[in-house]
Amino acid sequence: MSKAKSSLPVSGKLHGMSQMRRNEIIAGYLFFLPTIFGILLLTYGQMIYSFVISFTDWNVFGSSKFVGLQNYVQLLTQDFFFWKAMKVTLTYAFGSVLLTQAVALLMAMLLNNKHLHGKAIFRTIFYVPSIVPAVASCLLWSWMFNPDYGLFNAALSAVGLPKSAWIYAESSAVPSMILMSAWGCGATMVVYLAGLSNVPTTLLEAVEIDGGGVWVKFWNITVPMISPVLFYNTLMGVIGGFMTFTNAYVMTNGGPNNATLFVNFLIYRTAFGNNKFGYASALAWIVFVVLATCTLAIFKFFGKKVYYGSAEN
Amino acid sequence: MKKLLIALLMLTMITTMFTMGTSAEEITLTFSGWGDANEKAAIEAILNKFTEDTGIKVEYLYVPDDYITKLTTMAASGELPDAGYMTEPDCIQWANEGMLEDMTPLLESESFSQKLESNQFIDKNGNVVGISMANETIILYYNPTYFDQMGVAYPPSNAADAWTWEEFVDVCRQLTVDGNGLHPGEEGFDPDNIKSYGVKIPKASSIYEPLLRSNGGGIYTEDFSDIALDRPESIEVFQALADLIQVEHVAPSPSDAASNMDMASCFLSNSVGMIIDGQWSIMSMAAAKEEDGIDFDVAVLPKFDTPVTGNTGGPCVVFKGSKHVDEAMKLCEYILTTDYVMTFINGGLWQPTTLDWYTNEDMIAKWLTEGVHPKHYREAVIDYTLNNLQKNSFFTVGCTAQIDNLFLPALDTAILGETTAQESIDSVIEECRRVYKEYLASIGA
Amino acid sequence: MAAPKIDGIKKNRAPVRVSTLALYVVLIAISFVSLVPLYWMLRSSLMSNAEIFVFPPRFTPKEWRWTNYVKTFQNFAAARYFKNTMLLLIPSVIGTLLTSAMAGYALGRINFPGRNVWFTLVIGSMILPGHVTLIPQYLTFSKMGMVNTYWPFYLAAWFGGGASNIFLMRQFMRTLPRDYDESAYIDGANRVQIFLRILVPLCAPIMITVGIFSFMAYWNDFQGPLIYLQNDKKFTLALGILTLRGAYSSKWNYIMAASLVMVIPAIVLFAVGQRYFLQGIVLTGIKG
Repeated sequence: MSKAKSSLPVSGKLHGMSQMRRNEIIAGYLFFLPTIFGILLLTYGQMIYSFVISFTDWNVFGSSKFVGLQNYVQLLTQDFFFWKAMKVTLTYAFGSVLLTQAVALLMAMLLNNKHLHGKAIFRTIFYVPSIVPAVASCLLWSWMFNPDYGLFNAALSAVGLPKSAWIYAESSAVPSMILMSAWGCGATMVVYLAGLSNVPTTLLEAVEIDGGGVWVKFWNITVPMISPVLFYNTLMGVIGGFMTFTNAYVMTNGGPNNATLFVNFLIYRTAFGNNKFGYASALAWIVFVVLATCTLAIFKFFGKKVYYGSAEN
Repeated sequence: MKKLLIALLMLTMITTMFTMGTSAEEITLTFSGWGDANEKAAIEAILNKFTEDTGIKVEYLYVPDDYITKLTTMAASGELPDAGYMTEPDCIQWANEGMLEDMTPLLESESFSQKLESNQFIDKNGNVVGISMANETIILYYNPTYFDQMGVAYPPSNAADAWTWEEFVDVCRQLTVDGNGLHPGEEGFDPDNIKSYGVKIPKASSIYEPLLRSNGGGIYTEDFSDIALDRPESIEVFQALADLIQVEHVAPSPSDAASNMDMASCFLSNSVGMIIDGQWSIMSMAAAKEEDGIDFDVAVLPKFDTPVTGNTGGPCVVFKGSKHVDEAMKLCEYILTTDYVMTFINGGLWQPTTLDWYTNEDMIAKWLTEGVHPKHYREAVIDYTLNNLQKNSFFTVGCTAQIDNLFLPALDTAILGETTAQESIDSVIEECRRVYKEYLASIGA
Repeated sequence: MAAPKIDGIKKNRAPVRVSTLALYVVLIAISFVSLVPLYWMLRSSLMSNAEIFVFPPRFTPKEWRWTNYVKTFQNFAAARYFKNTMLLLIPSVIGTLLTSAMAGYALGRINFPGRNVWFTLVIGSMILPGHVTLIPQYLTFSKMGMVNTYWPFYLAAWFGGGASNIFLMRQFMRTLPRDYDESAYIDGANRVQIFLRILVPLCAPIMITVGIFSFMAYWNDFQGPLIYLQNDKKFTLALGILTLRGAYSSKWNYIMAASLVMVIPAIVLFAVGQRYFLQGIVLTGIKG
């Protein structure tokens, strides 16, 4: 905030700055102004609030006591669920990102084929799983996954394959959920489609004329051209994976044997089930740090590779 | 930007003033609850009657899902309603933190009829802080059509005749058949291709607890001074439950999501012969009976040693911070008056919480409804509740959710046959004790 | 608009090759998997409650109970919930589109001091689990007297419209060649004109994407309305469907009927909206 003020030429008399540069700065802040309100009024105040209570034993009801780093220390060294939840969440987040991105990009590329008829219909159909409300789709999937009554095992036994316990066995629970996440990749696919629509066909045709095949086109033209959305989707996928909640809330309640105890579900349970808001906040801030690290790593990884048209960096 | 901020602040203050300026003259209570649209309509009718009788207006705060999150958020903002429903596992926790009013005066008032002891939530100070709006006894549902088809005698509806566990398992074996019509234990029986199971037992502490107590075990000791999960009697029960699935092959593995919604489906397709569940399912079973012609009846639970059942029952409470505690208590009295909730009683969703209704023949006659309550309901629910019910621990313990979240997941490995019940419980017993000790310390016990 | 395009494609049609055939097979297989839940919802909505979970699963109802739909809407204030949903959704989607595009423009194409700090703050706001900010957020809106109104949603939408949308807009804005705005700038256009006349049309595909995403988010959101709305006079469709669910027993067939009816307008909107992806390409072509 103070930084914003000092750099804004409020009086219009900043020396040593061209009119053009001043206009640029003013324009930047004017266009960004609504978001500044959002960040200051609706987001960061609340985040700081939760950061502060992560150092207390606040339980919503009474007064709270400052406990220093105790919540953090207890989480990292003694908590019964913490490491399990982190492991489950990390496995799911990275598994689902890899599978979802691969499937979504593949689907988008298939749909981007210029000889294809009925694109609009396929696109709509592929997006359908993203339209079905999360609670409804979780219910549908838990019926389909049901080892005794489910569609999947009915299908497996119909073709003579052994049944699976799907989300009801420890070893298959997270893989089942990763599978389910790939099914819901329609929204990711749409972002890829938007990105692909910006790949100039002239470039692709040029490669074709030079005798380049599908792979050459993909790696040399498509991937660089869509790298900003690739970057976006990967990062959002990792964040989304970490924030997974509904699956556990509706389908498994964290089971079996905590195999789907996603960290966001653990935070919810700690906060609203056990009323340990200080402790839950500490847990959330540990997730923040882990995710910030992942985000930074993704930025670094993509940083050099992302191609932004003729943007300045 | 500064001006904008100030303008925004002004706007905020003005809107705040508007919203606060209306409630001075007459009393308006807020009552909060969950439930489907029908339940909401029935509750609103009671609230209207209250307003007609007393002149006190009531606003209904209707929360169709995730009630406790909304309530906690409101508590943090100091905006709790005056009275309302409360979720069972949170009730004592909230009361111990001083968030609920003592309802003892209401219980002792002249006009208030005596409630079942097993429907009273009691906090660390021994005060009654909530009274169940409905009692829900845990019972055994069965499918008479399927029993007839298999030529097996119906389960006993009288607690004195309750099956021993061995008798129960034996019946389960007779009811279980694989694709070739073979029973468990017979030569060539295929456990991977079971067409009909004997019994289905949902994985829930409210269902496990009476079975544990029947064997002299429990989740907590009788005086609630310690955890009792690792008593040999408790381990025996957990192992017996796991064996039903892995050794006897007479029960499907429990799947949390589907356990509560498919009793009628199981009976419709004869895929399960018996299901342990709460009394509340009478309503949906009665609907299924009408819609699909499914037959069902009720019986008492099998026993290990003594016949014991358990219960649930979300309470009606008065929240601390209400400016009109007396009026809010009066409102609770309306909600807790059995005569006003007959829709739920006759529909099979609720059992009365008033003692008279279990002993007075006229009232029982008013309760039982043709086409809803099955033939053996009187013995298997009404008498069973009166004589054999030990109330759920969440009526007195404020950390049941935390303990449940520890031992129920641990039992999954035993249910899947990967560990013994002893090993499962051993893996969490220390943490259970630590959490429970911490809880006991927090209430000064 | 549709007819001439089909003609155009027909004229250019290449002979059917094996690879094209394989493509269709793959696409149809994916379509099948994508449509399973829709079909599952449809068949469940036409069954009796008990039939839904029967094993082995039934693929068609024994008796097609079309009256389920009649009964559902007798118990369900669909018109009111729809009106409320629109009241909440339309201003919010417009706000999201406008302010996230503005933020994306600022972060993606204007060089102003502190830009990277603001961008980091935008990303940072996404990575803290929301359960722990729910209470302070409620306190904020409660202090502003906005509980039981749609203002919490409007405010969030008009103040940036969500970090993921801003991020997406920024990413896309950065891919567009800078010569466009530079030449316009030299021609004497100001940044508002550049934004409205050049960037917004060029960003049609992403604007539509963000529009569709935020529409779906508001359309399906029940958690936000559940916290901020106090009685069912104000409830939206997503929240309204929950009123069909009881604590102990639920009419799953009615819930499926209502959900299906709720999903269809969203599908139609997407089917219509996604056509403009194509237009985005065309526009880019012309301008470039």
